[in-house]
Amino acid sequence: MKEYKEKLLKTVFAFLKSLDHQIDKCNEITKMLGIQPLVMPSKEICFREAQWVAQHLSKHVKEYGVVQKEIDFFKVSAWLGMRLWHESGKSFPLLAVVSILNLELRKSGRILDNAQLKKIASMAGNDGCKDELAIGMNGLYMVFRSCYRLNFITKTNP
Amino acid sequence: MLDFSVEQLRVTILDAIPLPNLSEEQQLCSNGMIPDLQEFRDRIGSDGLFSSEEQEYFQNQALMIVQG
Repeated sequence: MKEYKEKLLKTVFAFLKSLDHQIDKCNEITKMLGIQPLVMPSKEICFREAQWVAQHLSKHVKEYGVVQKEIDFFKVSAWLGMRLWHESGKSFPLLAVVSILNLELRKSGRILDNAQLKKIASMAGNDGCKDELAIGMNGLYMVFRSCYRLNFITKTNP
Repeated sequence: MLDFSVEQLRVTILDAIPLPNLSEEQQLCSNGMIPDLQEFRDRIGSDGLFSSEEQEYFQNQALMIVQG
């Protein structure tokens, strides 16, 4: 079995590269439209927040008694995406993070439609300003984690 | 474009952090390991590029994200 730390490293790296790439694609459109481009957070912010996520994962595991065998892409990416969004002063839409989570969901066979993605991003985006209306970073990852799990259960027991 | 390597990320983040619920054996194995590049290629491509299917997905989602 591949080592846990390496898996975490690769998961963080894959998410950051995905977000960077998604923002690049968006900026092909912002350029065409002549509107303000989206901005990928700096390397310093990315690394600092990735460190926060790795540390937070320790607390999470302790709190919930999770036995770590695999790295949950949804958990790490949702946390990191939300942190980057806040720490960069919302230099890119949270919808970009949600869209990447949806891409991962595709591995389970089915994905959410764009209307649902926008609703999820909107509710996650209320974090820190309208908390009573928000789902927070844990809610964000649980939405996708639950869909992922349900897709597999449905495949096994149609 | 954000330019960094997996090695930079490793040094900055993971080497300094003790991780939970690892057996002693796992902890020992983790020291000094080199990333399995094959597994990494499986994920994002050998030269850091995405699969054509993923590229298409990013492209398709871009307008929706920009429009919000």
